[in-house]
Amino acid sequence: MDKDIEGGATPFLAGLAVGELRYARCGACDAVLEYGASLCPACGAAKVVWVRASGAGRLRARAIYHRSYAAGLVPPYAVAMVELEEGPRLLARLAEGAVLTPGMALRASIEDGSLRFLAA
Amino acid sequence: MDMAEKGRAKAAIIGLGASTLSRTPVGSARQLAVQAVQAALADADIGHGEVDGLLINRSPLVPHEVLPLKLQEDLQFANLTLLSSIEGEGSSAVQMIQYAALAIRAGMASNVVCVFADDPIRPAQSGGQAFAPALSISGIPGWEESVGLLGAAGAYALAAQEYLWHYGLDADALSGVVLSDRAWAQRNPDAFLRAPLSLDDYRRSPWVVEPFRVLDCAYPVNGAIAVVVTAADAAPERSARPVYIHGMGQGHGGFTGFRGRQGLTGARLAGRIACEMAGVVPADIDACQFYEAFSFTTLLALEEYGLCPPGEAAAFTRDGHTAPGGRLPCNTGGGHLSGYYLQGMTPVAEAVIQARGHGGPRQLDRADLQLVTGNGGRLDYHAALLLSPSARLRAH
Ligand SMILES: [Zn+2]
Repeated sequence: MDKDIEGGATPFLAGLAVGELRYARCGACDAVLEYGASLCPACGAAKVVWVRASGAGRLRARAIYHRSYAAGLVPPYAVAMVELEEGPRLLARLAEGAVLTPGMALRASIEDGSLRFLAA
Repeated sequence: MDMAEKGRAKAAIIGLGASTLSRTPVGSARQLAVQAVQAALADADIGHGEVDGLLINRSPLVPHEVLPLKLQEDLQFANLTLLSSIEGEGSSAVQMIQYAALAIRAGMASNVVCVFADDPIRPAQSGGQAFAPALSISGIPGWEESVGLLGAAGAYALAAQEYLWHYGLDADALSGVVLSDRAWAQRNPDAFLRAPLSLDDYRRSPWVVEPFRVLDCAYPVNGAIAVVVTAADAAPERSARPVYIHGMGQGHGGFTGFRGRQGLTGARLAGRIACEMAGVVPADIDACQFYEAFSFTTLLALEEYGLCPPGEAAAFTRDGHTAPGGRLPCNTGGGHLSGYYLQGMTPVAEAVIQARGHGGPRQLDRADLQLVTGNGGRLDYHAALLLSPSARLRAH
């Protein structure tokens, strides 16, 4: 079995560990795949290839937690739905204090393997 | 008679039963399920030995053992010809009734009991905690925990926020659903939140996960509800007020969030199939009982099921059209927000009560055709029923 397929989305986490934001494409037809896909909805191939994203994206939504559901998560904090310029959507944390507007341009920042999005 | 024959009932609900419903621990889900089944059989006036099918729906947040197939033995049903636990998350209750109808039509069973039970409120656990686990929507192991997207509210809040931004609405947009539910609950002695509620009260409700306030979230209870499904032809002899199943549909789109386009969830598909089966159009629907774990899901359902133009459900609800006296009554027992949250069985039970004319102060003048929905996962899984007190629908 292809390692990328067997590994599911772990190449994404491995990318973050080396400071790289990655997304998936189909190894057969090059279609952009959503995170979580193991098979290409365009051509049916099960060949996932992980490539580097530009890091640019747009804010599609944010949810602001006013309650803590786990130790270490101190409210209020925002979780964002970011649409990468390549197309896939990714849940992410936003840098503190950013003024959030619908559709605003964002850029990825990875420090010590931890991903945040900042105003571009 | 094939399944798609329009206008003729596919099966009927002839019994409805509930356990004690409570905000304090009153027994395990399994014990509550037994109470509800016993009540449903008594309501259907059906002999214990006549039951040949049992379908089970447990909360997707608890392990199988909480409501196992062994429930059959608790209930002492021997010689079942149909037994299964349905895994459609919030769409399971509606799905159970669909599969019961299909099995009956295929001759695999005659009288099928469908039961949901849950006990989210336990001595060491609040309702909120029971619904807090992270459920994956990204496909990346551990990612939801690492970004802090815990609990059901977060994923729905993201979809709701994108909807609000897309249509240029503020958080008050959700208030219409909350106030409508509460107005209905005031007419329902079995609803849990019945105090009068104003828009100002709503605005004072604290945020949970913005744009959701406490009042935008379902009100969890411990309890169980069961129904008995039988053949449409046999129903008139068995029940003075059978509730006929005319349309059934499912649609499963996976998690998409709101992307500013229609048909984004499987609900549109579920509704279209159910309407085609029944030979009706959305405008024929008299009332809706929606699965609305969060207020936003009613807005989206109104649009996805073709009852409101895209982007107009907030104004529609704020104008009172879903409230008592409105032109499309919705969630007429108070729904999940002010009534009680027993997942998919809340809307099912209210539809049966209304179709039978048992609504008391909240009884609808017209309940000839009701839409009942289930919504599971994070807007991923949808199932719909069209129910009527009539075995034959008027020709459209
Ligand atoms: Zn492909």
